[in-house]
Amino acid sequence: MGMQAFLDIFDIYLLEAVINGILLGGVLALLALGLNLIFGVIDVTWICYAELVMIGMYAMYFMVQYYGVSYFVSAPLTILLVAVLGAALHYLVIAPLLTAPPINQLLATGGVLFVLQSFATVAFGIDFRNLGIRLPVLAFGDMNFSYARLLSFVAALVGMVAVYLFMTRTFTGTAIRAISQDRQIMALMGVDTKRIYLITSALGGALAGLAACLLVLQYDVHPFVGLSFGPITFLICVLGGLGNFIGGFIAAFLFAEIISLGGLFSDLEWGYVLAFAFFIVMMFIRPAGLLARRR
Amino acid sequence: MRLRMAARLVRGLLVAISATGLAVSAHAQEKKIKIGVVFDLTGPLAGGGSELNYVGTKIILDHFAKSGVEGYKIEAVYADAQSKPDIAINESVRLLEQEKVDMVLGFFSSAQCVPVAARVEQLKKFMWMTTCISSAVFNEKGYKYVFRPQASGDQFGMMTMDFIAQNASAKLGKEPKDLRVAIIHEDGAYGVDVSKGNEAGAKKAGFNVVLKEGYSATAPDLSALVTKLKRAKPDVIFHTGYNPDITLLLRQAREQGLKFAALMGHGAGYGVYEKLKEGMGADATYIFNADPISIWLSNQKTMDPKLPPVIKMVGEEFDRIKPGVAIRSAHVGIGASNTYVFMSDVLPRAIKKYGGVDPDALRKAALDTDIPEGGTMLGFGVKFYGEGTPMAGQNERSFPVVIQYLDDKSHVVWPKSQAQREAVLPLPKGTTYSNQ
Amino acid sequence: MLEVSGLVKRFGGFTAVNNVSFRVDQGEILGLIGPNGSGKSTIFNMLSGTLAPTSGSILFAGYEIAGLAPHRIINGGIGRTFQIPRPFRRLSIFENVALAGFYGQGRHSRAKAEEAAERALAMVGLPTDRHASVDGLGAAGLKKLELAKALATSPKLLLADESLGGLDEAEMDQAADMLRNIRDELGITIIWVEHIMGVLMRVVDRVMVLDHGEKISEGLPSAVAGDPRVIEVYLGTDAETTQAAAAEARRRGRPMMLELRGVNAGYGTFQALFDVNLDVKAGEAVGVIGPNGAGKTTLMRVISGLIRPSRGSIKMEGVDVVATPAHKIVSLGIAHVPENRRLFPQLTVDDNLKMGAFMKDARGHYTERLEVVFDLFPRLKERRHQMAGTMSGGEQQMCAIGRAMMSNPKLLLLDEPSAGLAPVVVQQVFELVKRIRASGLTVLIVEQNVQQVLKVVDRAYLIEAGTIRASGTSAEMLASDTVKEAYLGV
Repeated sequence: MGMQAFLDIFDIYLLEAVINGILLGGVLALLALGLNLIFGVIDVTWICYAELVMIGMYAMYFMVQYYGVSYFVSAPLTILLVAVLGAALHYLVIAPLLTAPPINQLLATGGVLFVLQSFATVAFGIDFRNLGIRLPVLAFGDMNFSYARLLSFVAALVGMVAVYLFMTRTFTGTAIRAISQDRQIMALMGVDTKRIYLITSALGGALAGLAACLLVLQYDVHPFVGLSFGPITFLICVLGGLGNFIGGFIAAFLFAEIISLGGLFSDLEWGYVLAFAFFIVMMFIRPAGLLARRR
Repeated sequence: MRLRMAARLVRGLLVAISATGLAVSAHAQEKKIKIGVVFDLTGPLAGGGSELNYVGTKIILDHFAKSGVEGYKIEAVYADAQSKPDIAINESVRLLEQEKVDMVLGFFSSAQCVPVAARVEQLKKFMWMTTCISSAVFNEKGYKYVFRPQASGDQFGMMTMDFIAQNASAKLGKEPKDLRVAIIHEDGAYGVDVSKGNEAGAKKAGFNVVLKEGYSATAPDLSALVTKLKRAKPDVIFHTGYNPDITLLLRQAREQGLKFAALMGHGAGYGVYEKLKEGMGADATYIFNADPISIWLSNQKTMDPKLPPVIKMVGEEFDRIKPGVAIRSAHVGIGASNTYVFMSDVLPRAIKKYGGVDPDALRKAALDTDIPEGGTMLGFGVKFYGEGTPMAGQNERSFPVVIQYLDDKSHVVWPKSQAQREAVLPLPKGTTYSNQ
Repeated sequence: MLEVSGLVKRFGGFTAVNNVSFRVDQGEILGLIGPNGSGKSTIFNMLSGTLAPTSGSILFAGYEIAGLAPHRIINGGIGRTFQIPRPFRRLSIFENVALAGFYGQGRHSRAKAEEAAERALAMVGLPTDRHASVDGLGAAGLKKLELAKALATSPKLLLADESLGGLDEAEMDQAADMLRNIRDELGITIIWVEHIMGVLMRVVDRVMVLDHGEKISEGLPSAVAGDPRVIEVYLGTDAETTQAAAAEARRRGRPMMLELRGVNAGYGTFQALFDVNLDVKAGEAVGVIGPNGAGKTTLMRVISGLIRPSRGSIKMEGVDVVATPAHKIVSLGIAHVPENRRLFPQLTVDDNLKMGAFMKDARGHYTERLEVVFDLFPRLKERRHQMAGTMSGGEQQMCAIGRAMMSNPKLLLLDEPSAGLAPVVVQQVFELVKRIRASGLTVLIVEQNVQQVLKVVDRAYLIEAGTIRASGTSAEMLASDTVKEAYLGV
């Protein structure tokens, strides 16, 4: 009896759910990476972050489906395009509001969210579009895993390591970390803060572009696709501690596992409810994020 | 200086107001029905079929506007519900109170038509629902001014179950009690409604329901649901969803190796074959879907002879508006046929027999409707449940059909009276999802 | 009224207040003075209950209050103002004061609180209009508001903390008169802590001088100002005049490095510098001394480009830099060590130093410069992987100076390197400055600690209320009456 109950819970499907959670975590971690950078450095919330991803997905779709450009050529072009978008967003919207109260910045990027959604609706229509690339499936016995997800997982890991190396090894990366701690005195180091912000925004955009390249393999593109990812990406960044990359990474996997295992043991809906409840509880226990030092 | 400017402004305003006043009174003298049409032209529902309904509806309204009806001019005012229930309510009220339309028509999503119906009834205005299928709109509400020629959600869920029940032993080689079925649905009003019909149908047929679960249509991941389906090993999956959650579910099902004998869809996302094909490629073949029959597929031999030319006209107009579509979506026909019933049957009677287009005249005319089977482009007849019945306002003669996508075409396979070919059941060996 | 005996406060191993005893009589104004870090604020914090004394007793009206919670002390009749005003910006002036009255009197009566607020506002000369907004108040207005808040709590004893900081001369006089009126009309006893001695000396009845946590002098203002120990603390007496003379000889014939002519600068409508002229020659060490709020930090910020002067010229080796943005001024060879060090607390020492070498030119010499800095400050090498924010104050100052030196500057601007450091560490910091000097770098240093700074610089300027009042060699400055007056008020 005991053994049977054990097998009922710890079957192969549980393992599959755990691994699928990890893979979903990869997708979420990738999304959180760029947002976290912006959050941590510029201290500005890009409410419209997921919409940048959406534009990137459209770019991929049109290049691959309409113009027949190969996936591997389209990807760097998309990353570049969204990087430019990120820089433009900073230059046109954020920079003039840097000294304004945070709520104004929030509202402004919220406005950009609607602008991008409406732009996509007008320019691309409300149709759901699908890249039509179907990657093979990896099978281990009864367990099967999505290649597309493995790819995003690997990309998230590589992206994370690359960002980490950039942030710690280069002068510009160090300046990006420094500027989040003391904006005013950066000029005394000979640092042009405007330039660093622009670089950071472009980098954040590039990461959104990278996420777009990988998400487009798994999801349909439509003007409102950001709604599926935007909120959860924010929660992850907040849970991990704003600007804390490793915290964000861990938070993404925690969230994904809660969604995946919660969904397996109860209703799928409950998986999400559990994840949000977990978020709220953690906000009380560790309001500054998972890895924040206690003060 | 500033004073003079203000004076000029006031004078201008007065002129403008009196001009509109004149225009209004001039209008009042000419006989006209103003119809407010509400569909989703933006947001996720737009691509899920709402926009296609709008196109079908507009083709019919434009057609009648050319000649007018019984000396009445036809004027349509279109509004976008933006895929949001609150906008649908606000737009409907705005049309009725500010645009002074005589009635509202349309409505795609069940989440919209339930609250809008309640509001319109409260205002004692006339509402004609072309598309939304929620049973909850009428259930025990006793509305007087709300009518729907379209089949209701539970009729959809019952229909697919009935189809499997009648074919279980012959095609799947299983007794009903041994047949494992899973019912999954998006958790909005629409999905819940259909799933209730599924459940009732499964109970009636005596199936073994191994999983019943809802999920949010915007969920970024459904892999846990797929894993549970794998564990439950259903023979037939009854799914109600929109696009893109259908694509996501079936993609993750493929990636995780979910196998089954048949997939039964229930309108909405499953009604748009183009999108299924784009997302799933060849795997879209053999999927079943319960929908009002597509007007392009309905049995024209048993149909009122004045209708086939109308179907042809709608088809040509549609091809002109949206060229190059492989399978004309059933949604266009739904919008067109159900609007046509109102324009060709209810409206003339209201004017002739009840003397106008006020809500009560329209209501009496609707209650008199008695169209036999074969009397609409969708094949079914129209007679509304009368006052005092639990579903008052619902068409008692409507039914959806079960179609199957084969060779990039849709074929009616159930019920027998409309069937064009034999269903392919179970999924042939060698196809992606086949459990054979 | 107040009797303090054997008061001691230790923070870890550091003794901030060491066995201080004093008494204050009813209706008296006692001035409490001393250089930065001498323990004045610590004593205030113990009197108001913010800190609990390590040992000693504080008898207020016969009751022991040492270690009581702040709100009980306030309700008992001791009111205090803060050095940096912290009004509730969303509330009106009246509401701010009434709130203090409501809670501070301990009676929680609305009518009483409003009555007290009206009286307090009238006393300090702020509008009693209920809707006047805090936003309109300037530095002087905020200080008045701070005072009114303290008065509204109906104190018997008022602790006034640096009520003059950031005020101009006329405002200082006004504020001093106000304190006197409060005593005369309301009969409130006052203890007044101040950096700036001049104004204080005119108003108080008695003065007590602290240094390194100990009481070194107490008595009538005139007597204290003449006390040799006080002069020693404030001005120092052992400046190495010989060294200064040698430097003077070296100085002649050196090319001009930095040249300020007629510089005016400020923040918004507030003008902080008036027609400042200042020279620094290559290889020289120059000090700028002056009391709090005299404009020293503004001067540094103007030179490094953080603030644009409204008038005047600033030339670095003959090139006018007035219109050059701050991040480009660095590449001309000016490195600024800001006030309070301003390290990046959550970066390692290495990363902080790396930021100092951010400029294109400096990046190429990163490793060489790192060696130079590590040679100069071996301690930094030991701590290189530590988060800068976790180091001690002295180590942080090393790191801040090291960071500035990474850009291989010609001119180093040091803004109050000794501020906020323990006395022992202050000594170390000035040793550092000497070493930097010896390495041949030109240094411009701003300090409050006159005694120390005059030991390490060749020449100095005295700045007061934004104006250069005097200049000369270290020895001349030490002997100068103007300097004495600025610091001692005689």
